[in-house]
Amino acid sequence: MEKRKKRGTAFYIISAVIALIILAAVFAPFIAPNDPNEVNLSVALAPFGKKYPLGTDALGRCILSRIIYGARVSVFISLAVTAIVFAAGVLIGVLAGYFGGALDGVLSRLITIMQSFPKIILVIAVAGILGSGVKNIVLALCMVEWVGYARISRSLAFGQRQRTYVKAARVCGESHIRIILKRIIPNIIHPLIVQASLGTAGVIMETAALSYLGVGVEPSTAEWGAMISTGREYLQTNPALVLLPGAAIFIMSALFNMFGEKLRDKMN
Amino acid sequence: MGRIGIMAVKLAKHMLKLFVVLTGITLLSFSILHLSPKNPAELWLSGADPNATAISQEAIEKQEKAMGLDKPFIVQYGIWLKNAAKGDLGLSYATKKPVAQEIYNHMTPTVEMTFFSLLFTVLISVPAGILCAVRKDSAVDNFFRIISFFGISVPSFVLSLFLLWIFCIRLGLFPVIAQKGAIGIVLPSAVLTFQCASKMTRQVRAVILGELDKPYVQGAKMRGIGYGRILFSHVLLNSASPILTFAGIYVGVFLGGSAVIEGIFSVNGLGQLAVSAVARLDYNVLQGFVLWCAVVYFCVNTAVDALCALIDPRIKYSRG
Repeated sequence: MEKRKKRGTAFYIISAVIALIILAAVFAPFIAPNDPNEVNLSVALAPFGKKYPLGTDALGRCILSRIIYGARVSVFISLAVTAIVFAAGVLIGVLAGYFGGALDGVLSRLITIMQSFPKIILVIAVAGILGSGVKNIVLALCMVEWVGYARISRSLAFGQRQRTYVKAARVCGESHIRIILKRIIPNIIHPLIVQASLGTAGVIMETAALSYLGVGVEPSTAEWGAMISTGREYLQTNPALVLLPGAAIFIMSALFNMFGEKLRDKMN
Repeated sequence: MGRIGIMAVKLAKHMLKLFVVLTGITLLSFSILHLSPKNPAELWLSGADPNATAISQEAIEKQEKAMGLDKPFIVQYGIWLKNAAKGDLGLSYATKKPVAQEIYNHMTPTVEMTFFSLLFTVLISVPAGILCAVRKDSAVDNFFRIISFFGISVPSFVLSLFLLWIFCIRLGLFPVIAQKGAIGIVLPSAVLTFQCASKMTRQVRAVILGELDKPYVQGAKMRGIGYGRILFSHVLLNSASPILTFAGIYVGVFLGGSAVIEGIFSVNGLGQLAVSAVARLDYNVLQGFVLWCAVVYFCVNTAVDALCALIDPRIKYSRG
């Protein structure tokens, strides 16, 4: 006998926390105790204290403030990328899965090609060509991330195409566009949204990885990956410089992963 | 057509697909590299060293002619393709050594890491996934869920730095800069294993749960067949197909080298080669690397497909 599912309060708690963090990111200037970019070498590498709750980094910048501002960048980039690739990937996937035939052949080849391409290299190369900066990271990540959504929505749409209600709709003279928008997409949207949530977590990690490698945001920006990159050389003496932003990335990513999982549980 | 004939046709179809995909991928990367504002001739002459002194315009132009950069884009790609088919992938801009040799030199650590990571990933995930599925929502299941959750939520470089801090700096168990040979790849493999085992355990669990839900399992139980037998003779075999597919994906990912992890542990693998090649815009090396990744991906895919067809007769007879 399966256990009865509990009331699903965890879902709302997680959603609330995510909403809080997004709010904190938006209102960062009001929440951060100090200016994240204020360099003050006299207090460099300070321990936890009243003025600098999480201490300072090698240039005397308040770590807590940088983490809060870092949330801005991460939240913005991950949500932007996910929104774009979701729309684009689902569109391409549904078109391929629904219409099949030559269109599917071409799009499937394209998807296969993009999949076998080493992701990191592509992102770094594109980011390298475009230069650093938030907009360029978003662009570079978009070019790589859409494939996942395309693949999933393609197989989902393909599964729906065979169903009776689609055939019935065609017989009744419904146009393809109507069928796709009004019938197929609502039926496949649930797993896709779950995927979007998990995907957002992935993008957060990838953004940080890019910045860590130096091809992400401008090097001195308050961004978690960049903080880890600069803090790395102090790993022996001040591991907090690496571990604190690392924990931030983990928490953000974990929250979105949990959100996606609870969502999936709820929908099933 | 006899059995051999059918297999020959299938092989031919696969070869054609391989060719199309490889061409597509290499053309894509060729295009991206050439979209870059940097001049390959200049890069060649400066040895891709950003600190090199400025080079005269005539030298650059001479080099451009020598590298065939004045020809139209498609012709350049065609030349590369022709050479690649013969096994000549050009020379690295930075080291002036043949690309194939560079890749070969950096392959060993990556292949080693792939082997061990895959081995342990499968050894851990498959039994754990089965256990979690069979004992759904129990303490064991929750235990693995929590651990695997960490595995998928922590970025690889954070985990790597964390392990570096604990095992190399704090505990001094491993040298901070990896040495060649077995010791050097223990920690990076551990990171890879942890990450992929986390993902794979969940995937295995989901697949087995899906199988257990199927009516034939209920039917077998009602007929009094022991649970163990149901599990091993039926559920496992049916689940093998998707599980193999996942394993195949991970092999492909591992063999592409994990640039970030290798960087942190100072492992001189393919990932490092690729990242430094991107930084230096070492086009030839990058093209070669992309080709390597694509070939690996395709071979692994084909092998997995063949294995799945072998194990699952339904697939074998539904095709061809």
